[in-house]
Amino acid sequence: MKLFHAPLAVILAATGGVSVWQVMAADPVADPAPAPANINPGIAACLGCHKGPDLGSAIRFVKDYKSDEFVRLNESMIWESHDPHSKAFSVLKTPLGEQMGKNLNYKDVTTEVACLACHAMDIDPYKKDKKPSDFVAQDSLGIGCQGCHGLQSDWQSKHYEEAFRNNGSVIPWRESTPEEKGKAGLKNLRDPQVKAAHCATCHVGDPEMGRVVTHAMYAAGHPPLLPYELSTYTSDQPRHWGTPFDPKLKYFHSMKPEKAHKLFSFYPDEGQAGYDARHVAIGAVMGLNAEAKLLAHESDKATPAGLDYARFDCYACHHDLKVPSARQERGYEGAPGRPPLKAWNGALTGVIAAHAAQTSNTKVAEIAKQFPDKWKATQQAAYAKPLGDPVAMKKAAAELSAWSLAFANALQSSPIYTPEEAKKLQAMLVKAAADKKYLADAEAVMALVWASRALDNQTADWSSLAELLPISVRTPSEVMSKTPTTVGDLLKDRMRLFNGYDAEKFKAHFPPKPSTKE
Amino acid sequence: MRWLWMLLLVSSLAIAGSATSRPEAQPSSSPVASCSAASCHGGMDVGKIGSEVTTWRSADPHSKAYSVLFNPDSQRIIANLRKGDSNRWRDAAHLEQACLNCHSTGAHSTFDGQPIDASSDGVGCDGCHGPSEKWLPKHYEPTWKGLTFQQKRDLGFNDTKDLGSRTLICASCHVGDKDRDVNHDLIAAGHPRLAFDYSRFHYQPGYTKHWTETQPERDFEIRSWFIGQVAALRAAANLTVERTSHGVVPELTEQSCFACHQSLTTPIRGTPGETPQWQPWHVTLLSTLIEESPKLFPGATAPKLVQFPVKQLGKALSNDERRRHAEALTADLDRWLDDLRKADSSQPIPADVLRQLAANLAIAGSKAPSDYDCLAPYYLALAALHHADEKTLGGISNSLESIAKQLKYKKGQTGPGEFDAETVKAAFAAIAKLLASP
Repeated sequence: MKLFHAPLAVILAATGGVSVWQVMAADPVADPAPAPANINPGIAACLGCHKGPDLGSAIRFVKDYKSDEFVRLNESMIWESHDPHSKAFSVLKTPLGEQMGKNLNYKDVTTEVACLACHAMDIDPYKKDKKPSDFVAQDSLGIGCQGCHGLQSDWQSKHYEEAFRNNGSVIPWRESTPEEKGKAGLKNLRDPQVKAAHCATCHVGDPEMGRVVTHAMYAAGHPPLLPYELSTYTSDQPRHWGTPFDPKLKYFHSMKPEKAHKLFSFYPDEGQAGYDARHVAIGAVMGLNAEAKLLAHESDKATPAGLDYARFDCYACHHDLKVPSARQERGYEGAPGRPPLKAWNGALTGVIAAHAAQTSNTKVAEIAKQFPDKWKATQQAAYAKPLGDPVAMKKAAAELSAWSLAFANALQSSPIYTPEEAKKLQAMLVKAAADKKYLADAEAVMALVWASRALDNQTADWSSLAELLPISVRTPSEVMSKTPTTVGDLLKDRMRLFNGYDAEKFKAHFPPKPSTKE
Repeated sequence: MRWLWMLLLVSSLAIAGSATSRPEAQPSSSPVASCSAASCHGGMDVGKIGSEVTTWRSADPHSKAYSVLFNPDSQRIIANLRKGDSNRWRDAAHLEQACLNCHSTGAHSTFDGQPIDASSDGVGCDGCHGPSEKWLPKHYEPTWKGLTFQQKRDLGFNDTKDLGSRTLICASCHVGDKDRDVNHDLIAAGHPRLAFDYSRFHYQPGYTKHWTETQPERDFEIRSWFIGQVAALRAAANLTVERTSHGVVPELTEQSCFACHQSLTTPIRGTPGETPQWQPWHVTLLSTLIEESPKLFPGATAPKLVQFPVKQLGKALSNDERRRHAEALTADLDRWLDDLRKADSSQPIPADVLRQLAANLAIAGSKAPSDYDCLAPYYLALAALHHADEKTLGGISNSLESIAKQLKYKKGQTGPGEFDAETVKAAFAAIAKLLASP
């Protein structure tokens, strides 16, 4: 009698076919903050079906529509139990949040738009001069389901209501195009490019949405934003969705390539390995795209001193000074003593472009070959003056931004990641991680290790590197703990591990040996 | 306990004295060669009058200034700079004018009417005493002692007896000036950081001075420490002026090294907004110096608004504004140095004045920002005063040692790494308490 544990509305919906959404809107346990009429931020309605395939209304959808062959149906449950996004807003109220507010002279971090931009759900991201009331800021939600999938209530009701109208037959919603779904407010997160761009708006930044972690924020105590490696981020989130190659999600199996690409943004022939490679590649390129946009934007805002420190490689400056110095032994790409751009950014996309340049797809290869020049021009604009030459940077960053977008478009429209190519890409990432070009930059090495690991398919014993540098965003035990833990809470241990990175030691243990576990 | 304050010597000096791979060749005719005549300054009693050149050659790192340009560190520095700008850095270190400006007396001076290359002398006699071509033939004539300093200056002879002039000569390399700029590019390439402190450098091991002071040693040490601080700040201000027309902007060395160069652990040392943004190494003691000036130098009061441009220079300014504030500061400090020079320094500094000075430094140190460049100057100041008068300040040596333990660079590091700022500040507070009790 599990049904009795479900909220009343779910039972009503499951038995009477009444719109879950309409009932849930009046749920007294829902958060009290008022939201515009066409917005539904709460998770209660989602839990009605996405708590588990054998719970609540999901039972009926499984029975009538085989919905468990299309989605996992336990998404909300995973989010609620494990995903740190659920703490995005409440972390502002921790001692670290308070400390930051004090240092930054904010009246209240929980009403400060600069904080809310990422730590709450943004109702109209591109609105200018946002006010606190432009956000859904609730302790129990943080960045909830709708924070990524879309706040509009339109799609939320549509995506299952049509099921009722088409009793027993195929569900038109599921097979409508991403464009049609988008009109109802659903973000097409199945498309790696859309997903990568969307996550990057917070995890790298987006000036047009007011999502920028400044150096002042870091200095006040904001945890460093980690290298943006999409696959590692999502696997540690942990991922609450299945891939089209998930054995349980039979709906996608043996789907025709054209339909797979048009409706669900994947290439059946690439297989799971190619799917993963695609996410690593497009994630990195869109991460670079987000950074390029930030660089262009910050060039406009540059002071006589140059660009904000936050746009440069944190660890170019933030390291204890040693003799002999690995950096001095390696030398610099430009004038010594000037903060370079974030090393991981160029390292990840560099390997991905170098790989793509070798593939037989000439359109992709042509664009890929342009990367070294585009990156060099941007790096030179950074090196031209100690904190960047704003004029040169604006131009170079705009070109890098356009290039990265074109490259991501080309990648997403070409099925280049066959299982063999995915394997090649992985080998190139592994090789780069131990290349002396990157070896002195812990963050570049870390990003390359993350990407290598994401594509390894568990044949190597990556845990053998765990004492040498952080091999994931969160530790496995931490991901599986019942209480989502934020990076802020992990900071002390993770920074100690990161600061202890020793290039020679790493080289001696890399690449990791094959796993002995079955 | 005289060794105590030497604990903090930065490794730069160790590097400066490290092995050379080239024998030192003396040109047959050069200022150094000429001065070293046995009957003039070439005696064999190191440290004694009449043996100045011998002392310089055997117990003064300046004599090795040129030869270090051949060592692997220098080669690496040049190689790193060349990667950044191959047009600017074409030559080996010992041929680069930018290096020679500090590491030699002058590559293209004339001597005895002939152009000579005296660079292999390192920083020889002329480096500090001034280009000798005009004053050399005169300085051993009986009339020399009757000349005024201005007359000697007109002959190119530097006034090293006046502490203000002397420390400014030191600072021209050890802080920098128009042609001698150890900027962040050089340091990142591998050049040691310049963290000039007159007293610390003056008494470093392996450095024997080749002259005697006119004041008693104790009072010389206290007053030269003070003047050294003001002169170093003056040199820093002037260097900022020069950089507005010659340098790269922003110049990262004008901030605290360790505000940025610390591994990111929690807590971050140094509170944002508290640490001075411009030359904290040189400005940290300023408030105390202003307060103490008339007590050590009767009648010499610091210019009233000297702290204003210091604050302004910490902001993101346009080049013109930056220049204006730095020029104002330089002029202020010149006035102050002039007053310090004119002040009557013939009387010994009373013990209670010294004690109060040390107490004030300790109190200020106990409240300083947690940044290394804001704490170390207080330690060095107290150590210098302790070195000058152990009798009066002997009680503070244990606390000073505990501070040195925190601030001292650990092996293999060119920075303090993780140190406990709170322990340092508590030790300053303990010193202040100790000095307050009779």
